[in-house]
Amino acid sequence: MIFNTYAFALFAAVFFPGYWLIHSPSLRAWWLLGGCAVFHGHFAGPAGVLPIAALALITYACALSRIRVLCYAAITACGVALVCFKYTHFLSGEILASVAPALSAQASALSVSWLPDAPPLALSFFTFEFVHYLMDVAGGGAPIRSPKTFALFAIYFPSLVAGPIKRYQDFTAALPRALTRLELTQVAAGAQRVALGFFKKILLADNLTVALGYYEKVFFNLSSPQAWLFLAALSTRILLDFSGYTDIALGLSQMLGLRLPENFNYPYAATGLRDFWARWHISLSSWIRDYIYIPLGGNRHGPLRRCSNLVIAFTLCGLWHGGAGHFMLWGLWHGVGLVVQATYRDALGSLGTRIGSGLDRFSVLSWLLTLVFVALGWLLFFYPVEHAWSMALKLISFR
Amino acid sequence: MNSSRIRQSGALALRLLLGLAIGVFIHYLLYRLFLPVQPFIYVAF
Amino acid sequence: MSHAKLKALVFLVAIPLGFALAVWLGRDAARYAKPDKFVRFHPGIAPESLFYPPFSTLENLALARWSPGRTLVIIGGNSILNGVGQSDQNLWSRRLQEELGERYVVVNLSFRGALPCEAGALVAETLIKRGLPVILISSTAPATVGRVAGGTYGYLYYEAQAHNRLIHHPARDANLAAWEETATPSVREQQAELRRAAALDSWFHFQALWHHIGYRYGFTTWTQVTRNRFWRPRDTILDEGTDARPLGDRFREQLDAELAITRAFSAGLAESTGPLSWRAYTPQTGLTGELIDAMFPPAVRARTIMLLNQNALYYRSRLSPAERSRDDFVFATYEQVWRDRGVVCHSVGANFTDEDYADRTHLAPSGGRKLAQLLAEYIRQFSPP
Repeated sequence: MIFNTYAFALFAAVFFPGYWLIHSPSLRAWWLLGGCAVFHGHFAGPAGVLPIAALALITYACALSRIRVLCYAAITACGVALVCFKYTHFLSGEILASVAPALSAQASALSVSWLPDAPPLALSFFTFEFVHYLMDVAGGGAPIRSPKTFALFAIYFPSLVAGPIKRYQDFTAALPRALTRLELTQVAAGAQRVALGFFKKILLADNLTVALGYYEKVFFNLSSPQAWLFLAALSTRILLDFSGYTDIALGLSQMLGLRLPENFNYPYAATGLRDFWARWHISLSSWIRDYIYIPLGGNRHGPLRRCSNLVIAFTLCGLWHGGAGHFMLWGLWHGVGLVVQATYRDALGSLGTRIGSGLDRFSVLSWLLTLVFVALGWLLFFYPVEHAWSMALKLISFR
Repeated sequence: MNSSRIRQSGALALRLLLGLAIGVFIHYLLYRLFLPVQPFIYVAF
Repeated sequence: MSHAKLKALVFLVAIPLGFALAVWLGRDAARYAKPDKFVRFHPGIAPESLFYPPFSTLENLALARWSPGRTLVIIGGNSILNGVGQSDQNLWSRRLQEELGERYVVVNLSFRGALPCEAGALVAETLIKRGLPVILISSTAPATVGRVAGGTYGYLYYEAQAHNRLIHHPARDANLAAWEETATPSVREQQAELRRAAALDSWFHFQALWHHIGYRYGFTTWTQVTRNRFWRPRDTILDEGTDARPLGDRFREQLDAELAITRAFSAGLAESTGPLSWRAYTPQTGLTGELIDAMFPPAVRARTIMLLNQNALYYRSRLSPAERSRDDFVFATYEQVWRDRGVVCHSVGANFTDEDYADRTHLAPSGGRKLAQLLAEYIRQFSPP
């Protein structure tokens, strides 16, 4: 995370007072853009900035043309960039290795020589925002004409690192208001939210991270209650870490007068998987819904197609989080879970109906089921498949 | 009128305390940023 | 102004006020804060448990018992001088203080895993710069000097620099800049972050305040050293160092690995020119000499006694005659390398017995007593400029 660095503290100490003291909306916009560029340049480095700048230029130009083919070409370019930078090692090292090991070794060696050590900073978030923008413009939406406004949308520093994934219509509508009229109450509310975010992230989540790092090494020596406590801590950690970061991002943006979309809504209070995904990383799940699930057909072509669309969408969602098999399986876990939730009543007949009514009546049961399902899923998210499987076996056998 | 004034003063006092606490918390954060999340493990020399 | 706006204004004004209050408390802590009844930095008050004592604390410790007319003996170095293998009560530096008497003040500022030029050496430099009578005691393996930045204790160097505590020494600056130039981007950024932290700390004193609070009132970070008592103030976490195990139980753990280390100890530092005859690798002696010049300013070198640590007799007695001869040659060579740079240097442990060692490198209480007696003699003979 970048917000917990002295470099960011120094940046904020200079940037925010400057932003607040400038009254001219135009100058304020330039100050904001300059700040975003400095932020991106420092934390991404030249190797991280260039690919994003290239994609941004392509996206801006193609969208401006309003020619559908060009928009789709730009979408393809974003997809190719994402796959190349983020998934080459996964494709060559894991997927190809299972069918053609010799070719895989060659491909891996080649990719190591021309790919940077790490993908450009926040590449996944950039490409998803660009794809959303291009899809909406291709679908008839008005493109952003001003290069300054587009640049601000692209590299807006509060959400640059890890979201939330913005929608350009909301951003461009809110931006003029933020630049013209910054309220003291907004700055105060934003500061409060930033403090809350740091509290969750640094005081709580980081402590859990260190403790988990210690106890995961002795996981198989833990008693059953301790192992379940470990799982609870793992689940709590990721929520505090991610929602804490989001609070910081939203708070910083609020201090600039701009509201970003909420990303979390008490996800562990969910009483079903669908409910969970309406509360967890909301900007991502709505993006998956609007730009993968619905274009695939959604639930418009019968139950079988609906199930396969859910599985595909969430598998891709898992893969988006990281180029490794266990991320993909984590997505698949949720995809299959959503399919089961959507179909078990019909599939199991009267038994399904009885189970469904029971869960509706005793919502604490559906809450508990959802919580355990999601928590077990985190094992796949954080650990290689075999290790996650062994951990899950230990947990569910209560040994 | 009086109770509303008291409530308002109370709210202001709370905001003052919260602000002071956050100011102190920011100072604490500067210290906390320094600590590595991964600990240094002493290995016998 | 509406009530909502007034609340927001009060809140926003209170934030810098709260920060200023903490800065003010931090300034105070920097002047006075230090661990109580300090004997040495044990894991409860050292980086192993995420307790990074700020430079001001080390300075405060050094000066706590000093008064004009007394000479400060600052112990730097690593776990050997930190007394691993000796309990708090049997710590060798206590014996040294007893040997030297009231004319000297012995302060053990060694840290486990520290290099000879880190931590205690920087405190000695600060006090030398202030004109105090100081003798620095440090120890190392024959060719090891290291760099004052880049390791776990590198933060102390940056803090001392930011607070303008160190002697201006261009050779050190140049050496560190050259090293950083060749480091990976992540290491460079890490060093830059440490410099930013040190600069901010020189204005806002957050290290002193929050370490003082962590020591006295409560700690906020989980560590594997403190685990289920992690929130307890560090003054409740005692030095749990124990004396070496009974002689019969020592040395047998990882015997092969330790023997291999002992065998290889001087292997990369000298080449054979005939039976039991050796020549030092001059690139290595040259590099060691350069690092000594760079990491220790001349004024510090003139007030340093550097000890070169021998391995335990248990392992050395299992070396072949050629290996033992090479070891002796290397120790003598590197003693001379330090002396040529103006540093008093002695090898230690060559005539210590098995009883005196807790393991291959660390001393048991009896070894600590012998070290204290030897060092007391060196200190009494020492006549700095």
